[in-house]
Formats: sequence, structure tokens, C-alpha cells
Amino acid sequence: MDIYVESLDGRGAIPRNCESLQFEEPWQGRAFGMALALAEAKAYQWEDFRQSLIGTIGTWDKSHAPDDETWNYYQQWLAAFEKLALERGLVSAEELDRRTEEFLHRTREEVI
Amino acid sequence: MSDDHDHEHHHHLRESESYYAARTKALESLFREKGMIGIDTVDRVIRFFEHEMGPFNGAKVVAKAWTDPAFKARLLADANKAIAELGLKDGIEGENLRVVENTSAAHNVVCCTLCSCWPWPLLGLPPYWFKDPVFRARIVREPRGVLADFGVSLPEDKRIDIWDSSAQVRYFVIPERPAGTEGWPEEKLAALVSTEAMQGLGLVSA
Repeated sequence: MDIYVESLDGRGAIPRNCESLQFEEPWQGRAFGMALALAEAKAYQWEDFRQSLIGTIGTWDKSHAPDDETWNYYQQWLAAFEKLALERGLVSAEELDRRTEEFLHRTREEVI
Repeated sequence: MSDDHDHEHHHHLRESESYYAARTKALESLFREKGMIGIDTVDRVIRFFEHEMGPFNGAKVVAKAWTDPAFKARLLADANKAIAELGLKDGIEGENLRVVENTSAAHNVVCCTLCSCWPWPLLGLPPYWFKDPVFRARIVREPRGVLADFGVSLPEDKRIDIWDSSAQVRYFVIPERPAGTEGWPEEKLAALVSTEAMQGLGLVSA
């Protein structure tokens, strides 16, 4: 699993402070862990995720200045993960949107 | 930037944060439902990176080397074998760890041109600066300038050795033991040692 993370370099490298993973919000840690867990479960090859991340970041770079303050690594991570999950048919856009609404409006009881 | 604009900006950020949180929960909820991940899978992944592979392992090695000269000799001779004595495994196959020691005469700094040679089992996830292209270019050209950026200033006559790790060899630095720590137990010594110090970009002080 460590090799997965090691393979992310350049702009795709995981941000960190000296002592720990650098998650600013809990969802960032969940998104990080999920992408690794599904690769480990062989839902996709890690390289596929890596390529999705590189592509997503590349698209962002084209439309933003390098010092754009809205840059957030884990938003790119999540977008890359979501894109791959949809492409592979692991989830459908409809069910994902519906469930997002449920969590957003607190109409779902599940605790994650 | 005016206060109004600033306020608006933060408001938008907060709004999007709740969207990302809900989106992430939705994904995890669906993957759990489909049986693709277990209820504790994500926790386990995060724990692995936070608690099993981290700089605390490297710090333990440094503290042992400071207090046990025979161990230090074994560590310098064959690092992979020596860390196994402490129950630490080098998880990445085919790659060798090499330990270099800072002394009053020479200071070692580690860099990596390919980003593929960080000593994971000893230091956990590589920090962002290590992979930064500017850092990698500058450390070879002007090590003293980079060290100054990290808050490290060395005597003019101290030699600086730069170790550019290859895919086959990953370097690890034993920093100089700070004065005034004679007789300290290993645990107390280990707590002084930072990730930066174990790559030569920091000094250890008590």
C-alpha cells in the first residue's frame, strides 16, 4: 500500500507536515483512505487512479494560475476518485447524487 | 481585498466544504452497501499510515544508535539487518537502506531526484518539500542556502555531503546527538528527533 502513495510525485504528491498526514478536514482522510482501499480490493489498478489524479490536476492547472488560492489537493483527489468510480461503473451518477443530497440535507441516518 | 469580499469568500469555502464532506460520505456509504469495503477499512488504511509507518520508527533507530555504539556499528554496516533487530521491517523489496552519520567534521543531506527513494518504514510518508522540484534542484547547487531556509546554519569549515538516493539505495541520517543529553533514556532521546533531522535538513537540540 505504501508503494501506491510513493508513486505519486510532482504535483500529485501527497501534502504532509513533518509528523503526520496533512488533512485539514475529516473528509480528506476518508477520501484518501477510500482510494487506497478500493485499489487494494482490486476494484481498479492503482495506476488507473494515479492517471486519473494526474489528468484531473492537469485540467485544473490549465484553467487556473499556479498560485490560485482556491487550490486544494484533496478536492482534486476526490474528483479523480469519483471520476474513476463512475467510469468503472462502481457507482452510478444518479445514486451518488441522490445519496450526496441525503447527507447534505441530513435526511440519512447513517453515521460515517 | 475588502472585508465584504473576504467574508463572501470564506462563506463559499464553508459551503463547498460541506458539499465535499457529503460527497465523500455518499461514496463511502455506497461502497459499504455494495460490500466493496468494510466498515473499518478506511480507518485501517489511515491508521497504517499514521501509526505503523512514521518518523517515530526512525527516531527509535537514532536513539538506539546514540546509546549503543555496537548497534550503531551494525547499523552503518548493514542497515536493513540492524533495523530488523528493533522489529522494524523494510517493506519495499529490493531496495537497500544506507545509514550515514553526522559528525563534527561532516554533515549529510539526503535528496532524491526521482522521488522514489524515501525510507518509508523509518519515516512514513515523504513530506511535500522532499518532492518539490525547486528543493531538489537547489539542494545540490546551494546546500547551505537550502539549509538556511530550513533554519540550519553550519560552521563554514564543516563539510557537507549530499546523498542522491537512487532507486536502489535510500539514505538515512543519524544526526549529531545534542550536548547535555548524557544518560537520557532512549525514549526521551527519540522524542527530540525530527523527520528533517533524519534527512540532514534539521539539527537536534535538547
